[in-house]
Amino acid sequence: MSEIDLLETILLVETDALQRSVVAKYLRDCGYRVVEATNAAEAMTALVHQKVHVLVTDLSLRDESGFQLSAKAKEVRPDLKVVVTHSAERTAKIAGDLCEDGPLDQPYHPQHLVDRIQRLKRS
Amino acid sequence: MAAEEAFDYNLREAAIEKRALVVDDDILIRGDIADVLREENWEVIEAGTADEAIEVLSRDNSFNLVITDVHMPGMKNGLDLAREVNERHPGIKVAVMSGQHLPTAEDRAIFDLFLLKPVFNIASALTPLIGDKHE
Repeated sequence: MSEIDLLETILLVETDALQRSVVAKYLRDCGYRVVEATNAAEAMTALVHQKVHVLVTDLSLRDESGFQLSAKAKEVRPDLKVVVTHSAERTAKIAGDLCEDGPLDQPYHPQHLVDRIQRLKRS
Repeated sequence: MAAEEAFDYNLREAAIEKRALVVDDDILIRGDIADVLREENWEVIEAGTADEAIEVLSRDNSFNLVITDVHMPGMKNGLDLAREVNERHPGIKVAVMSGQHLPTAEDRAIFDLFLLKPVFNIASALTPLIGDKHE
């Protein structure tokens, strides 16, 4: 974990509060700053007001899809790294195009997310 | 497997920390409060509505403290949440925050502390409930 930039901020968007908190806690323990959003609208507010390096979003949000959020986020912040998480394989190609490194299947171990973020940083 | 390991991780960490459920539909306010509490070594779960908080409490009620705004989107508001915690989880202390709603005497019976928004120092404001770490 030594190579993790302590100032790296991850915006984590997940509908399920307990799952979100588990992943967020793990990422914080790894040295990231984590902003937790419960839906896409909150995520966009955070993107406008806070410096975010990586967006990690579930595909199925209450107010819109993770793909819609990713597209809007990229309009506001073209340099933003994005990870979309979902289990549906048919979304993989779209997610790969949007997210540079394809989606994570759920449920996933938080370490897989950290590994993914590390790869995004090197890309 | 993965999900079970993740929740085992959460439970293991929860055993050594005080836990708070912070409920506010404003991500910036909620995040600020949560960050301050985390710096004070609280484990914090965030919820964006009272409905979400009630759903969390139905799955996990091992909290020391619930801090909630009053006016939020959804079926229930912060006072409904406070009432539910008061009735179903009497061991959890409740702090209610609002900049618009001044609580009545009846309201005050269902929570432990009222905070007038904006709350500039949440750690200090919560001292009547959780004590001063320097005491």
